[in-house]
Amino acid sequence: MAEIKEEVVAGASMAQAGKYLTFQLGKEVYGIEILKVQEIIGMMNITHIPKTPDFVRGVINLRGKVIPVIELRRKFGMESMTDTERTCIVVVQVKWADNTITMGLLVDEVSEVLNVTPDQIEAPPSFGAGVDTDFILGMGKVGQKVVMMLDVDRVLAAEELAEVKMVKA
Amino acid sequence: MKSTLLIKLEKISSDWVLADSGDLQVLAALHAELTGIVGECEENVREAVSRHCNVAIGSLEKLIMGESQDPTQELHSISSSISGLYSVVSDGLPQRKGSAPPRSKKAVPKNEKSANMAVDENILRDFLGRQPGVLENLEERILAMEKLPDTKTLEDIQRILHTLKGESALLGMSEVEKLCHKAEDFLEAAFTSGRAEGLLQIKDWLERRFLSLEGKGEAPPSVDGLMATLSLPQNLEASKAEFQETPELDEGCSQNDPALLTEFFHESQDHLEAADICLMRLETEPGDGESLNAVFRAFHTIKGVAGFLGFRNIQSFAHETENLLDKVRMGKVALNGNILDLVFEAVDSLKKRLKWLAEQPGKAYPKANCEAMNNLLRKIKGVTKSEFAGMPSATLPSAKAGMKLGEILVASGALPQASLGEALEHQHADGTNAPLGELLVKDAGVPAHEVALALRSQKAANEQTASLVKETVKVEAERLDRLLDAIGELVIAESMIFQSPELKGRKSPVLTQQMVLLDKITRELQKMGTSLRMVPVRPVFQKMARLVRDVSRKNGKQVEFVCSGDETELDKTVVDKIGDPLVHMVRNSVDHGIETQIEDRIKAGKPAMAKVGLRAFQKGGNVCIEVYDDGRGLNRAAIVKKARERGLIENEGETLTDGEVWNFIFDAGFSTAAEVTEISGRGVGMDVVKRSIEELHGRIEIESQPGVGTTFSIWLPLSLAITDGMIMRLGREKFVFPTLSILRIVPLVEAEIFTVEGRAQMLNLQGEIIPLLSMEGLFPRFPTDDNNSPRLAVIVESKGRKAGLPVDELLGQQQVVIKGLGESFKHIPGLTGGAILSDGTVGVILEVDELLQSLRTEKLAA
Repeated sequence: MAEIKEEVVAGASMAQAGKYLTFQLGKEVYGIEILKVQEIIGMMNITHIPKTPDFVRGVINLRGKVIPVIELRRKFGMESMTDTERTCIVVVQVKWADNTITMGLLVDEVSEVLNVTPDQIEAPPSFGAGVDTDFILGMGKVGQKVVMMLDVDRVLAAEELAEVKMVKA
Repeated sequence: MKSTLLIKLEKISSDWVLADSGDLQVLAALHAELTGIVGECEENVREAVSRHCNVAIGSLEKLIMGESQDPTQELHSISSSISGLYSVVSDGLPQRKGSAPPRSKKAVPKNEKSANMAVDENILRDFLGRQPGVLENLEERILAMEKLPDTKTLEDIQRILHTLKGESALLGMSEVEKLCHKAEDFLEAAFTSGRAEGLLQIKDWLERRFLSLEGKGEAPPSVDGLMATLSLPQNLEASKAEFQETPELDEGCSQNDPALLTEFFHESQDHLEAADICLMRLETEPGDGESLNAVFRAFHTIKGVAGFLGFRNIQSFAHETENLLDKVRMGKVALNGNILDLVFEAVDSLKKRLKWLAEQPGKAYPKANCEAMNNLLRKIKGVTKSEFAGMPSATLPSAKAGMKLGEILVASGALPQASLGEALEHQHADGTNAPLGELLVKDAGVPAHEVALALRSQKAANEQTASLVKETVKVEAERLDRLLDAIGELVIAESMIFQSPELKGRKSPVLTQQMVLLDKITRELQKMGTSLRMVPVRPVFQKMARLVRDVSRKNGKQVEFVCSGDETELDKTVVDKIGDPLVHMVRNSVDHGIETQIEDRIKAGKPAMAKVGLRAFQKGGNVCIEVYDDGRGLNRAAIVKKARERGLIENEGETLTDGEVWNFIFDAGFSTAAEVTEISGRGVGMDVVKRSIEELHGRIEIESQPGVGTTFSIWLPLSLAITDGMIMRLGREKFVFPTLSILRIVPLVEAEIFTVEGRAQMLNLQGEIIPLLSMEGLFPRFPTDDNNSPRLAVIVESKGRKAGLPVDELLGQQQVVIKGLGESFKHIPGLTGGAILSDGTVGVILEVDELLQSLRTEKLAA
């Protein structure tokens, strides 16, 4: 059973050509499949939730719905940055088990929507241990830019948030 | 060829099911269609088809001509003929191999299971979805009928059963159909004692059946068992048969024990004599309530005994008169000369009738006398029914809801039966489908004024029925939640606009006016939104009515169930969960609360009929449900003794207040009952009650006086989704403390805080030492401002342990809607969820019990 599951994941982890929303974390450019993105909202008050991992910034009120916000920088092990005017939250739909859940990604700045063609996609790099590239589906070379195409379902794997119970002082 | 026939049949059967079965025009159309069908079908099935058609046509004709005294029976025979036709025609179809079952969804197959498979899932689901409501309704009516069997209730029950029968036939549930039919028989038997019992059993069976079809619970045992145990009242079959053959008032019940009969006659004669005298008194003193009651009693007794002996017509005659008297008693009909005359006449004709029975048992009552009695009956009905329709008596012809124009006119005497038949013949013969009213005026020479009046009363009667049924729309819970979210967002957006400095700067009266309007609409919307999830507690109360009835029967107590405030609304989740504790409490009230011996009650100066009641009302943000009885009250001495035995207290409990003593009964396994009965006594019930109520964030109070009765009051929050909260600020974060869990809020004074081992802080609260927790300790990595030290402490209590939580500021009190933190977080111990605060941000709602609990377990782990 586990094997089958892995196969499926492996099959899915090929970057697809199409439109990607790109955003920046520091100098790095990342892309998310446009179909996963629900909306982009400006920075707003985020309520901290106790007993959650540090990459969970908290929750926001999205039109009456409470959704968690993930700080991508922390998630990728980068330094936290003070919020600026350009900081925004990308609201994405994430598949988890049989459900689709809505989550926010805190990013430095949203750039543009890029059309990535199949010939522009390269396999994700491998750095061995130390750098986790599990959630990078591929590298897109569009013009001068290199876009890291994210597998949102894995970046925000909800299981990780569910593990918060384990976190102890 | 066949398929056109099938389509035609499908149309007929759906027309039939949808049609108002009393609508003469529809019946006429159906008549024409059925006549046509015989010619259309093929050789091999023609015989069977024409047989079915003839039965249906025969019944239809009887209905149209108004000849039938038992329309229900006719309706049933038409229904079964149509379904019979259906199976004949569809069975006759050449079976294609491997193809789907007959295209009809409405065929009546032999096997129930396959029928359900063939039926469209959606239709079935829709049907099943409606049934709980229908059955509840049914039960309510049955209980009402048991109390006071008036025509309206009986008709309601009949209607419900009939619809159910029709629908189940459509869905191929032959068992259900059979049972409903049986129930209709039962109802017609007009056999009062035991009738309700049987009907309730039928209702229970149906409930189980439907539940099992939904996949909940096991299927009930075969319907045949139930049918067999339902002992049909004696003489039903006989009286029924007779009833059909001799539709006029006239029957002879020769099978009865002669001794019984003689007794009945003598008794009845006495009653009627007494009634005569009372009526004379009423003539001079119309306000004499006692005399009126005496007349009422006379007819009531005769009705009961006649029903028992199977004198159906006498019974219904007495019943109608009783109805009339009831109207008088309720002040709805003035007891004037006309009415008195009617009642006098009724007494006289009953006397005559009984005399005939006594002298010539078994012989048919002379035709002329029957006629007279029928006329009188009609008159009485006229008075009673026209009142039902809200009409001044006598000015308008009487009409029942669903009655056809022709029937009304015939009933009011404006139109002879025969002319109606002619007019109807005429109507479908020339096929113009001209309204019956027009035809009657033109051809039968009925005065137009009469027709107009009849039409008016028909309309009024139908409207009255229509207004009884509240229209509802079923909506998925999820969509409802989305709507509520949207409304919540609207409220916040609105308040943000109101707060915006740009708008505040403008001093425009028009703008202000418009904003006020917007505000009003928004509030209205918000109010409506929250009320959407609210449902009345009525269904739960109704269940209790049944429970009281069953339990009191079982242990032979006379208990009357009263309930009030059943329209009080609570959140659906709460209503769903309150049923169980109420069952235990009501059962206890009947079983333990009410005195076992009626003599004990009488000695105590209480009426023999005990009272158990439910009362619901709203007070502030809470709803209170009270369960009360007028029984013997709780026995303080016994409870104290038991509490000592169980080691709950050490002394005689002199210092305990009543309230404290009563609370012992909530202890698990606590029971003062000497023996465990079938119903209660194990001491489990009240423990369940307490737990379920705590689960609902409610509380329970007991009030009891020896010899007077006991009242249990359950206080519940209006909704599980809304909680009253205190909003506190700590650092940059806002927390919502449920108001119910806060004992008090005290200012933090440096002098009252001391430390233990240099770290843990304790608070000296007026001599009571309680631990002062820190948010950092409870929630690791909690972002706090170091500059400010907390100024307040919220004192909370959980399971007898108090603790203080420091906060910076109390921002206010607000009712908040509890929202999950999203699936991804699942459950974080110590947090109930999030709430959207008035400024649009999310506040975390604390769960104090868990918070302190988690602290304790962490300590253990460490």
